[in-house]
Amino acid sequence: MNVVDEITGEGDIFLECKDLRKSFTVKRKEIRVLRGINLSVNRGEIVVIAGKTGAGKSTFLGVLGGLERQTEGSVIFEGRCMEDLSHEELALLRRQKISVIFQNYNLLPSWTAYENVEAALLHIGMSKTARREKVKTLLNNLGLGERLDNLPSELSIGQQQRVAIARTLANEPALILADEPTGELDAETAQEIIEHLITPVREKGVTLVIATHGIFPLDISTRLFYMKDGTLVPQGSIQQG
Amino acid sequence: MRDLWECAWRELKRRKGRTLTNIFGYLLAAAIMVVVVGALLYSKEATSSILNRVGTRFIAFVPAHIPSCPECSAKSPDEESEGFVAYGVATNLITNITNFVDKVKKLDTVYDASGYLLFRFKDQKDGHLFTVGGFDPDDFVVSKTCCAAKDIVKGRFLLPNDRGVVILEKAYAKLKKLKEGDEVTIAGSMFSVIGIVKPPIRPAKAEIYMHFDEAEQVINKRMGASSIHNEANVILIEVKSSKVQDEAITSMKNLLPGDYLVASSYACYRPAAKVMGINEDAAWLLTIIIGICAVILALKSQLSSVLERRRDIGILKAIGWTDGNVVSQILAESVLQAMIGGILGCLVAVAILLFVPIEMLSGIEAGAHIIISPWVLVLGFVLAFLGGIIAGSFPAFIAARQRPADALRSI
Repeated sequence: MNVVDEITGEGDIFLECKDLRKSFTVKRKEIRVLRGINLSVNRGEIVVIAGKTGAGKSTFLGVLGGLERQTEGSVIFEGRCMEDLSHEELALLRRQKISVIFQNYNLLPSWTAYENVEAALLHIGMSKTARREKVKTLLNNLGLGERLDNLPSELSIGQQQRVAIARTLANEPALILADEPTGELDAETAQEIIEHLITPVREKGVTLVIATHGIFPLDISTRLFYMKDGTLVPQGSIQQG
Repeated sequence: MRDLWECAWRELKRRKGRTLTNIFGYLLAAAIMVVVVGALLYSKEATSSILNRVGTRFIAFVPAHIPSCPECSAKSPDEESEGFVAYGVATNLITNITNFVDKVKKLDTVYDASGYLLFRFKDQKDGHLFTVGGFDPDDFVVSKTCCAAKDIVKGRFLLPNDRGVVILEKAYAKLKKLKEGDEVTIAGSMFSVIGIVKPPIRPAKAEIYMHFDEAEQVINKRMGASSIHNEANVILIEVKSSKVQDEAITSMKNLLPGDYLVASSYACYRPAAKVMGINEDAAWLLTIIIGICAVILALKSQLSSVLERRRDIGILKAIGWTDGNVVSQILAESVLQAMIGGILGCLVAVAILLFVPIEMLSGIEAGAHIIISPWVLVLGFVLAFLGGIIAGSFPAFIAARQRPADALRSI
């Protein structure tokens, strides 16, 4: 039975997926991860995609972030088809509009907390002074003002995730894609992280798409989906943010 | 741009071991190259200075068996024993010698030239044959092809205003038991011996040397009616370098069309110059091989570094670094190492060239000295810089080709 996958939010459509499919070939065998996803996301929404590990959530966020190409279908971001963009243009899009928070934070291990955040601001023509000011402010706001010179290995998991959030927020993106942002955190730290993530949504109208395997306060989302067998199953609107 | 270099420097500091290895590789290559080129220039100067003792001069003449030479005087020597000679061969005279020598002097390859009279007389008393060389003692080329003041073993050398005086070749003086202050008679004219010379191997040696005009007078006295004026049977030539001697000979022969001129020089300069060339080529080859090895080493190291940092590069791309940013970053790291290695290599090379007695170690005592040319240092640095670009290009290309999702997924 076909599930109706397309859920169109009301208002300003910001991100849209049409019949999005993605498959990988492993040992000559085709593995279909995404099987025709239709989704429209409005500006300022918090969309939560829940699902079991291996359901395809990370792949879906990867395609939305331009980190990998879909096999079929299209992703339209701010009216532009992402499949028409070159690798260079996708990189620029990630630099200016879309930020990704990874499941395992993906901090550069030999770079300090300061340098990890600064990495997002290099090569954009920002002066060193302005860059330093911005990085320090971000890390101070996330309670890491004293840990600027620490390597990721010298930080707790929660602190590492906060560094990753600071890096994500550095470029003031319009869309944040967060892949299991609280997956390995205790409840108290997870709550802090969620607060840090939804603050830009409330204050600046940033759009947030979060993938989670369930340990996430689902009540913060404007819309909730469940990913099953490579398709999105709407679970309804929980709270209008 | 400043971000790029700062970031590259930071990355190099993070990987100290690898960075120091690469810098050391470039240092070694640049230092060896500068030292080899420095030693090569020294060797070149030293061997040239040795070779120049034999390889930069020759004499030219028209053999008497070429009667049809239009610019040659018909006055051929006495068929029996007296006459104009060079290398034991009877010669013709070249007319209007002043004009011809001027033309020779204007050749690009020629340093100096002069007309020379070399006439063989027969001693009327004892029948001994002896040669008289007439030259202008002011001409530089005379000191290189006939005899020079430094060859004097007794007495003094001819001065420009001297008249009625001669200098004798030592062996002739010994044979004739003549010494400084004695008098000799040539074609009925008396000359005082003012010096005895013992020149080394020279192409225009004679037994008795005198001023050109006086030689002309005694020859005319002997030849009677067939007097000569502004003619000479030999041209003395000093070329600018032993390497252009063949070119100079060809150019000079072209001044007298018809292939009448015969040039005679020492046969040893050719193999010597060739050996010099072989050494030079070998040194260049060695330098190139060392340079290539350094670049391959750095390339391998840089490539390993890129592969080790595959995840980091994937993360940087995921947060918005473009392929261009990644390429610039890898290249900047490679070039920075090469520049540091190049500068340090040049400094080490200067220290080696200054403090290691290469002159002594080479065993060549030619009065030449090690010269540290700024151009060689610039060359060492530029080659290290280019090496850095070459070594960084392939790894940068590999890094740029990585797709962020693949790099992150592979972890």
